[in-house]
Amino acid sequence: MSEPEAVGSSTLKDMAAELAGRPITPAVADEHAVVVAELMTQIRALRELPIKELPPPLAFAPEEDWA
Amino acid sequence: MTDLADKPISELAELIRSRRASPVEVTSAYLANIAKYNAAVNAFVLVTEEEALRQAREAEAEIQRGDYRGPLHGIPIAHKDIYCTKGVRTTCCSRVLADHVPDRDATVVRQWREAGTVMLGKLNTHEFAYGTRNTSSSFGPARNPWDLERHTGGSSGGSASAVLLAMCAGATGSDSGGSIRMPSAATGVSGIKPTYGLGSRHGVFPLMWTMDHPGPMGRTVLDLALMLQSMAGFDPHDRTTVQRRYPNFASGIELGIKGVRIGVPTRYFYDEADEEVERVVRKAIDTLREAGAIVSEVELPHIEHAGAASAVLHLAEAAAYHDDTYRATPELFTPETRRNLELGQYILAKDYLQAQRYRSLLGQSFRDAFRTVDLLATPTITLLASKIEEETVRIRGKERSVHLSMLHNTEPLDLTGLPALSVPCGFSKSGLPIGLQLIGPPFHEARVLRAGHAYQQTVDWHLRRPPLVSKASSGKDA
Repeated sequence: MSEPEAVGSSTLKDMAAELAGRPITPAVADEHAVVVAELMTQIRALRELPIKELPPPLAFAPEEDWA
Repeated sequence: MTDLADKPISELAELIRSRRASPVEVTSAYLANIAKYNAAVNAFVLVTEEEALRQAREAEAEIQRGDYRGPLHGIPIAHKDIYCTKGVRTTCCSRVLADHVPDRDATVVRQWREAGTVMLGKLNTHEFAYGTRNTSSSFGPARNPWDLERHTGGSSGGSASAVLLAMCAGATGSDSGGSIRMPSAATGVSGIKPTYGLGSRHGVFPLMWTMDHPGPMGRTVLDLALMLQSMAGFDPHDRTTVQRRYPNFASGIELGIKGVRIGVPTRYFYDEADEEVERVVRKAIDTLREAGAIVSEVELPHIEHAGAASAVLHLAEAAAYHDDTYRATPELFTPETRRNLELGQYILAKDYLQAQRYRSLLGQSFRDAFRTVDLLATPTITLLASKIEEETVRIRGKERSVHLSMLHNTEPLDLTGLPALSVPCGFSKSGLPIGLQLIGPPFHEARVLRAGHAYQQTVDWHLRRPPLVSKASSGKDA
């Protein structure tokens, strides 16, 4: 499996405008790219943790009392 | 500083119960300290003086006719400005909510009101509790009473300063990455983040639904026990609160620490700590050992990923909560909050879920450690309070982010939801406070508080007052 490429500022600019609905300037995208680069290094380490069989501790439960 | 306001809640409660002091006298003493100190430290963002005196008179009348509610009756407190207070402006220190007046109390506010407290006002916080230093606030930064050029720690910085300077007897804080413990350590007061689910988040503006913990801040551990008692319990309005019977946290608190097994983690918590912080905290642990605790080392596998998981979670959850305002009126947020909300747009769902799964993995590490020890002891924060404008600091020869360093030792306990207490344990050579963090298994607040109380019976760090107090006291020692 190949390593993903570094997230570039143009990607972040497109994500902000197209997915998040809140466009950002190229200068802000450049600033974010620096932070996201560091964050992605940490996220990649999280992705590699041996926790395949561990579910997230989130469970939806309907409310019991509808009265 | 007037004598009444200088007393902890535990002593004030007895004076009030026995009618040797009236709630009106006590409230007036705290209001006088607010008038004296608040301009310098910017702890209170709203003082409700008339209403406080009205509540104090009501408490006095109740007590005089024999309707004594308990140790918080007539005690002047204040609430972090993310706690909804009915009819009283609640802004989260943000222009987003500049004129917001809630029509209901948060559950904790109601609980403390029913316990008979007197509310003095609302306290400064980092905007929407989203920060580690209480520097980004629509009311301006909270200032550290030990050095007004330095931050208080955050986000509950106003709460910490107000308690330290006896502008209130106790205060609410909230903790999602360390926001009760960080300012407690940075200002030299005591604060506890209880187990997730012990206290209700209903009516407290969220930073992160899955990691927000309401909790008390005060001068002494015994005071924390008294305040926590009125916060604990199931709330049908917050279904993350747990249905369980809670002990009387103050009962047995004086039993001491003899035979209690304290674990000192071998890595992570001390590796990146300022050397002076480490030295002072290890000396505090020696004090616990001399008092009868059994100290040993423990391992905590996988803890090195705590920062990454915490970042993913807070970025995603805060961005989700504020999404509508962020899209409509982003300019109303401070630049720091806005930047965090922007970064939250990039977190993938699969990474958010991975971070949540990591919480279970980290929880297993702590559970395994607690098979051989009763408590863990670490520095609360790895550094001293830095100057308000500083973004980096030098620790052990390396340049480090102040923000990330502040979170380093506290965020693992928000990830795992474990109870964690910070108590003052000494001062740096430059006169800045240092905090000791004591961590327990889930719902073992009584054990954690007992250890903290035992520590405070042998030292007086928690009774120290900053030079600001001496200057304001016409030459008398505080």
